[in-house]
Amino acid sequence: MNGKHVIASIAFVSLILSAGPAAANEAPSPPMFLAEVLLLPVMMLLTFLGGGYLVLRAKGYKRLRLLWIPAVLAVMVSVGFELISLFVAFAFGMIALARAGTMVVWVMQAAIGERPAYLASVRPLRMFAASAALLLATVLLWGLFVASWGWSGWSTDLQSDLAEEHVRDFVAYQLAYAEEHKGEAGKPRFAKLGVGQDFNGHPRSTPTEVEYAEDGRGFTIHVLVSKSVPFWPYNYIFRQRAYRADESGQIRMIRVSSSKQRCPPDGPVVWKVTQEEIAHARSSMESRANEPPYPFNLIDSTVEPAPQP
Amino acid sequence: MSSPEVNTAQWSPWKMAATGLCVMALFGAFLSWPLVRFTEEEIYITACPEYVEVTGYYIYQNPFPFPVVQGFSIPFPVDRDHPEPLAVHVVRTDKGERAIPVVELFGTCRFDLRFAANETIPLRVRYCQYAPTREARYILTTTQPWGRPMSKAKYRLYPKKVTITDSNYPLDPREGGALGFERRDFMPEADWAFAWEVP
Repeated sequence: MNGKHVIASIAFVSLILSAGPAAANEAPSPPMFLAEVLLLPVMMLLTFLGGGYLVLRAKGYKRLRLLWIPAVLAVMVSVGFELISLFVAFAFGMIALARAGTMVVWVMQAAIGERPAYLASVRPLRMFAASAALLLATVLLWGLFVASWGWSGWSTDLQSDLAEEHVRDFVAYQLAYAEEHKGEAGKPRFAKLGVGQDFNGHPRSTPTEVEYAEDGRGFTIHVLVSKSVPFWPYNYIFRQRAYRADESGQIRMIRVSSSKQRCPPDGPVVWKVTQEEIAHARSSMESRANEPPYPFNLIDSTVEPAPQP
Repeated sequence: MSSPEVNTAQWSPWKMAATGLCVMALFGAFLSWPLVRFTEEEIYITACPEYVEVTGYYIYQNPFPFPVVQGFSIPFPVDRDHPEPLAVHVVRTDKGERAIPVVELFGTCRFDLRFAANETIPLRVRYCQYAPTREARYILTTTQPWGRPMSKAKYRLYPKKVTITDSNYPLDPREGGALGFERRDFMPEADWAFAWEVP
């Protein structure tokens, strides 16, 4: 493969697989394919910069001029079949690792003892740096691929939409309940609600924690990220939303990179539960009075206000 | 890039670094060039006392006789007074309604569309944004990176228990109590900013 073929391959694959800023009215290609597309060009670039092609040529290896065609075809096919992309990325990664290993062997042969003739052009430090960079780049791109493979397609649907609906519904139900159940001196009193089910009675997959004030006049709900946060360092690319809300009706949100992180009390307010949402929750509570009280089970409404001084 | 005849062992580190950067820049340039065409949009915004609901209909067209995958990101006008939008939904509206999975990367909502040869795809994007300062903005200037104007553009603003007090694009009364404007061959040079008050 010569330089023109490489550039043509990159251009062609880029054209087919990726595209640029296009705000929906903007654009990036998925990192999954980015990793797949970059693996071989990065290997070739680092082999070139490390002087590896001179060694291959000196060893009498022939260039396979049409080798880029199956590589491009493999990437194209994997676009439509994600399982195939797993094998393609694995194969490309193995080829890159093998090249990095081969260059390390050449460096050792060139540095130790008498140099074979085909290693005459090798500058050990440069080739070692190139092979180390290739090793690192392969591991990082593989990691990006794996993190993207397990992640694409459902993060926002699961994490943003459902978690967000969950916290909005919960706060609306609490405020509606408190309006109906005034405690001592007309102050609102909140109920302990179960948070483990959705509107259809199915278990919710978003981890939720609720804390209630002892006097029943306040609560704090945390909706945490799912347990499927990608591994380091990719968790910083695929950060997820964590929510926090309380009896003020304000919903706060931050992006977190760990399933243990919580939104702090001074996190940015992204929403305030509206009167329409509270009214909707109230009518839903009334209409479901004799049914299982989805989406939130009333666990305990007997929290009595603390005695007033 | 990788001509084996070139003896890189004679290259200075600066020349090598420059070569690497050029290759990456070339690749980056390919990544940042939209393939499909953005031809039309219809934007419907409901202004409520403390938030806005935005529904956008967009038409994209693949001009090539071969399939392509186009990535998109959704630009939201986020600043100190306008937090991250909620309830972001992207739906493909042809062939029934099909939700498009949206992924957040580096804090930006992104999604991909696969276009068949010469295919046109209509999309609907919805979101709500908290706007306690009673003014909001819809980003129009991201049309510019597409490189060509929209052939048709339609914008509607529905006041809900509020009165519209300001808009940088002149608004005229339209159907259903809406205010709005239309454009043809539209290449916006400013975003649409508007404000309201609660009577």
